[in-house]
This record gives sequence, C-alpha cells and structure tokens, in this order.
Amino acid sequence: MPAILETQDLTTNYRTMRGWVRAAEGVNIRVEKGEALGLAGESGCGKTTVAMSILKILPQGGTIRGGKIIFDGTDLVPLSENEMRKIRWKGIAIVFQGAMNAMNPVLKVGDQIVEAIRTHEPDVSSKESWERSRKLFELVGIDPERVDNYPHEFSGGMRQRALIAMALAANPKFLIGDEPGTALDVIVQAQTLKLMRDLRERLGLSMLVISHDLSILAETCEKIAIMYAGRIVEYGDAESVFKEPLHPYTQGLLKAFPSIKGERTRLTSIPGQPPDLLRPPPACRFNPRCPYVMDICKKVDPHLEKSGKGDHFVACHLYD
Amino acid sequence: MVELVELSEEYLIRVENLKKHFPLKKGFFQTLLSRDELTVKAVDGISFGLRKGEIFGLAGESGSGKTTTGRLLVKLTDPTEGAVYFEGKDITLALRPKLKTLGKVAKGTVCLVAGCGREAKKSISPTDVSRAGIEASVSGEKAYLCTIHFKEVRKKLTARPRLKTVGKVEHGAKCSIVGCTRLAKKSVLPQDISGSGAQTSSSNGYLCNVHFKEVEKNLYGWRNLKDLRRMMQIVFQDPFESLDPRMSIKEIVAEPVRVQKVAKNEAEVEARVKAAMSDVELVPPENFLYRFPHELSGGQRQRVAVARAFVLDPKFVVADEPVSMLDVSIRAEILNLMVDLVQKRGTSIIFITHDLAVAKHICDRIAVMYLGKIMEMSDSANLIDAPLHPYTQALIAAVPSVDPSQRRGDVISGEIPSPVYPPPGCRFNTRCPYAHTRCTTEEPPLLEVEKGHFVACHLYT
Repeated sequence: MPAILETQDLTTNYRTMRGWVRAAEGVNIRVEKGEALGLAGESGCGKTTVAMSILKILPQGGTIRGGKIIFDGTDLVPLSENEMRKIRWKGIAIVFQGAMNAMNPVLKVGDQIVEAIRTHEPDVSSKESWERSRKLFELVGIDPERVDNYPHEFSGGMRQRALIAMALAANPKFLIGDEPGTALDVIVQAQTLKLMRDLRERLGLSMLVISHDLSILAETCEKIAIMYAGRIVEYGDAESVFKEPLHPYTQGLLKAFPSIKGERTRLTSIPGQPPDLLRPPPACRFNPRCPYVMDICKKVDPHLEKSGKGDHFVACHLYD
Repeated sequence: MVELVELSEEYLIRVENLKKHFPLKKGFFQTLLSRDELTVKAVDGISFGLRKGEIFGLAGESGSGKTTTGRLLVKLTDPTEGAVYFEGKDITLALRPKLKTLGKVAKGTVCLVAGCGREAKKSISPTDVSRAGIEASVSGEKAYLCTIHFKEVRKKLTARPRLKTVGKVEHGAKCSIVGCTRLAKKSVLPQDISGSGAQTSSSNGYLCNVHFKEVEKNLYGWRNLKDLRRMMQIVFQDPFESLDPRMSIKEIVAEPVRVQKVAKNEAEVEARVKAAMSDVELVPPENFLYRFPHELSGGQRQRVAVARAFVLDPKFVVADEPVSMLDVSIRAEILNLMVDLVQKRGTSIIFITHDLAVAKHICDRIAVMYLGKIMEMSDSANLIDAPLHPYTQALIAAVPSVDPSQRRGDVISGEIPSPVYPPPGCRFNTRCPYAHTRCTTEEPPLLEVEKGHFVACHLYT
C-alpha cells in the first residue's frame, strides 16, 4: 500500500532564550491509505508538535529544522504559506484538543462551518454551504436544525461532534485528531470514538490520532507509535504493541493503566519525571527512568529497529 | 426518604437527605407568565455515611451532582435542605448565618403554630420549624408564621450559646483534661466539662484554650467555619487553576497554617511546610519552596495541592477528580500518595471520579450518582464485579481497555437529561434498556438488597 503521509527524520525545535527545545527529533511515521496511526506519549513528549509540524501551524519560535513531510507524493516542508493553505482542510484537517474551548463562542456553530467551507472552496454559494453544514451535522449524529445554535448551547459530547463535523467540512483525505475525547465522560467518549470509527469506514479517511490515553488509541487505531521525549521509541501493529510491548517505557505505560477486571491492587506508575527537552539526557532519553538501564544506554543512541514478528520496531538496547 | 440501617456513631460524616437546588434566572416575560421558580436540582436527596479512615468514591457522569455533593460536605455551598453531620454535629445548622424565608405570604393567612391566631407574615421551610422544636400543623412546602413566632424560631436556630466562664484561673494552673499538660487559660463550671463527655483529672474546671474550644463545640456545636475547616479540606480538579500563580510553593502550602494560626513562629511554619512536601514526595523540599506554580509540571502541581490539603492534618478530605487532568502515566503516583496518607493518618476521603476502573482500586466503597440521586452503593469490589443497577452496568461497559481485541461494544445512547426537568419516576428511565411503565411513574427507593449493597431500581423490588 502507498503511504498517504510519511515523515522522514522530522526534527522540530522551539527557539527559546536558553537554547533550542528539542520537541521532536528524527521522527519517522508512516500512515497508509485508509489506515489509522495512534501517536501516544506523556504531555510534553512532542506529539502535538508533530501534528502542528505536519500542518505547518507551529506557534512562534517553532521551526522545522530538518526532515521531510511527504503528503500524497509532495514534500510539505519547502511549500510556501499560500501553497500550504490549499493543503490545509482540503488535504489534511485537524480536530483540536479541548472540545470545550476550540470553537468561537460569539459565532453560531453553523457560521463557523460555513466559514471553513467558503474559505477553502470559494465557488460554493452561501446557501449550498449551509446545506452542506446541515448534512455534516447529520453525518456526525446531531440534529441538523441545531446549526443555528451557539457553542454554549451544546453539551460537551455535541461540541466534540460539531468539531469533527467542522474538520470534515472540505472533504479532507487525512484527519488528525489531537486528544479526541480526553476531556469527556466515559460514556460520551465511547460514543465519540465509535463515531470516528464509523466515519473512517464510510468516508475512507486516513487518520493520525494523538493521545496520552492508550485506551483511546487501542479503540481507534491499527498502528501505534509510542513517543518519548521527542523520539519514537516503539512502533508497530496495535495488537503486538499492546499485547507484547517491547520498550520498557511502553511496558510502564501499559501497567499504569488500571484494569477494571481482576483483583484490587496497588496501582503502578513510572517513577521519575519526563526530561527537560532543553537538555535531554545523553543517548537513550529514557535511561534515567528505565528499570533495566545498562552502561550502553548512557553512551549509544538506540535506533528504531525491527524486532519480533510482523511490523514491530523498537529503539532499545535490550533487543540489540 | 432513604432508609439506611445502623446510622451509628462510627461514621465521621453522615449525610441525611441532602438537597441542593440552584435557582435559575428567568427573563422578564417569563416572570410575568409564570410564578413557578425554576431550579437546577443538582443534588436531590442523598444519604450516606463515611467511616473513619475510609475512602468513599462518588462516581457518575458530569452533571450527576457529584462535585456539588463534595462542595456541600466541606460547606463551600449551603444545602437547600437536609443535613451534614461531622462527628455527630450538624455543620449546616450550627453555622447557618440567617434563617431563610421563602417568599411572600398571601393576606389573611393564619400562623400555623398551635394556639396562635395571629396573621402570618413570614414563610419558612417546615424542617426549620421542626428543628426549632415548635409545634405547628404544617402541610405542604411552606410553613407560615406570625412575626412573634418567626422571631422565636430565628432565635432558637441562629443564636449560638457560648460556654460560660466563671472566676479567675490561678497562676500556673494546668488544664484539667486528662493527658493535657498545657497551662489553663479559662475557668468554667465543672458540670459543663463533664456534660461534654471529657475526662477530667481534677474538678476545678480549668481549661486550656484548645480544650475550651473543644468542650464548647461538644456542648453547642461548631462555633465558626474556621475551626471546622481545620478538620476538612478539599483537593480541586485542575491543578493549573487551583494554585495562585503569584504565590511561591512555600506560601501556598503555608497559607492554611498561617490562617489557622497553628504554628508558633516562622521556623515552625517552615518545618510543617517541609514535612508536608516530603509526604507528597516533593523532595528535597528546599528545591521547590521558592518556585512558582508555572515552573512545575501538572503532576507536581497536584502534589502541591495535596500537600496544602494535608498540611493541617485534617480528619476529612474531599478529592474532586484529582487526577482527571493529568496524564495516565502519572495518575497512579498521585493516587498511591493519597492512599498512603490515608493509611498513615487515618484520614477519611471522599473521592469524586468518573473513572470506575480507578475507583475500584482506590476506594473502599463506591456510590454511583445519576441526576442528583444515588443509584447504587456498595463496597468497591462488589459494585464493579456484580453491579445491579442498569446505569452502573452501562458505566462499567463504557470503561476503556488497553486491549485492542476488547473494544467497547454498544454503550447506552443519549446524554444525561436536564436537571431542571428531571424525568418523572426513576431518573434513568429515558436511557434504561429495561425501563417499563412502573419506572416512569414511581420513583424507586434506595434499598439494601444484599448486606451493604444498596440499589434504587424497580428490577430488585
């Protein structure tokens, strides 16, 4: 299968007064057509930076310092702002995190969708775009009459649905979901994720889902990439990553997840703090927190290499 | 009314038929068209008890009233009805500043107090009348009283008697309470001390300041909110908003110590702050004392919030979704920390959460709330492994798993209904897969179906 989106050694840094913050370094991800890739990691590990690099909407100070982002055969890194504008929303759309705050509170929800449609497809008439926003509402399971409502009249779950509808406004090929459903209750979250699965099947979308919550990714994605301190440390099929995690960090993340089945036990966690990305630890960045740390971990950088069966890659000296 | 068996003295906190209705603002025309008062029924009649050293989980979706319950328990808001007993004393009653009146009285209404024929001028809640111990033939929502009887009720409910002091204290005399070595500061009647249930070593009636307050509390209830707050604290949900950005970590943790004046000097304040920070594993404390909240990660901030709540060594802490804003990987650390503090100090905790998987591992007992009512209550293992109420079953089915082969199936559809117009009968009937006609007309009571397992559902009656 051809890849619809691929990053090759993507390196994005933020310039600060104290030096470069190495938010993403040498990130290689690959999403095939119709596939969903989950990008997991703690807050501050650079997963949102990767998403913003792909759309080139980095905040001030953020620069792509190396690598390629290949979307549908073209490299996005050298493109100008004007050329990028044609890719955004029609090519790649994003559902931002925080369903509660991602919409403009003084505009009707319908107006915000119409704005997106008409900016990216100027030949569509106003009447037609309102018609389209009603259809989008129906698609995500909201009563189409509610396009005339303001965001505060929506519940959390409905706002999340409306945001998905908005992202789909210009028929994108690729959808990025940044922490979908994390601020929602379990029941509403389950409904939202089910919606995302259904939409993917019906519209043939490819997706990149970003979350710190592995259960959300387990439910929506076939491929999983685990990110730690700006690097991908493990990559593979969801089944094998979740059932046989190789990297000690992935193992820790999975153990930290409380299970509702089984006996009452003490919860486990990964001790220590995520590293300061201004001065990341030398060689393997997980070495200060790793329970299996060896001498080599502090000297040689582990590379993402194929390990085990199928498509399962890990960057750890334990498997050299 | 909910029937709870054995409401004995072993409970640190006891909640009886607690209600909180928030009035809704109406538009001008709506006021003209209808006289009904619209209210959001956030908490609508719940009862439970919290034992000493227990972690009690309150679970439910957003809008179920769990946060309002938590705020009522530490008296951040006052209940519309019902009572919260802390160590057997009603905190809502003792500290109520005013007697609440309930709107105008129509002309010609007669005072309901037996034997009084005067015209009624004020209306108050019937529970207030019975609390004041006045006999009245009340029917309906409001009790109408004449001015004289209204004042009598007000005096009985709001005036708080003080513990009387008599004579002077001999210079250098010790407090007469057994085991207390402090200097006596107040002299009271010996029968007052024995009336409070305290053990004395001599009958001179001398008391130190600490025990004076305690005897007064035991005789007449809580004197003021400040004394109560030393015993009960709260950890808020969002550590990014609950810490003052302009205060250093030391000032944040020291604030309760300073407000309560429990430390003699600055050195003692610092010692207590450092001890509290070591307890939450912000080590070494010196590295954090003079930093500001924006310099800390989310997990560290929540540790500061936990340190602030535990610095006064409270008997009771409300933890309002303390980990829901944090990454999954650091949640466990904060939760383990709280469990350790509970075991070390015997603190009781109300743990508010929407995540039943976390609740199972942390809590001793769990109550599941829906639209301001308790739907099911049991010890945690029993509630999760053998849930009885359809709502609890739905919540458990919606708990996510990290196993990709066990995706969540179909969860119940729809969202929680408006608490302004809760559905009649059982509140869950609009979303319940087993709803039948009885559920839409008759509200199921919370009944004990097995030992210690309460459920409010017609399927089990």
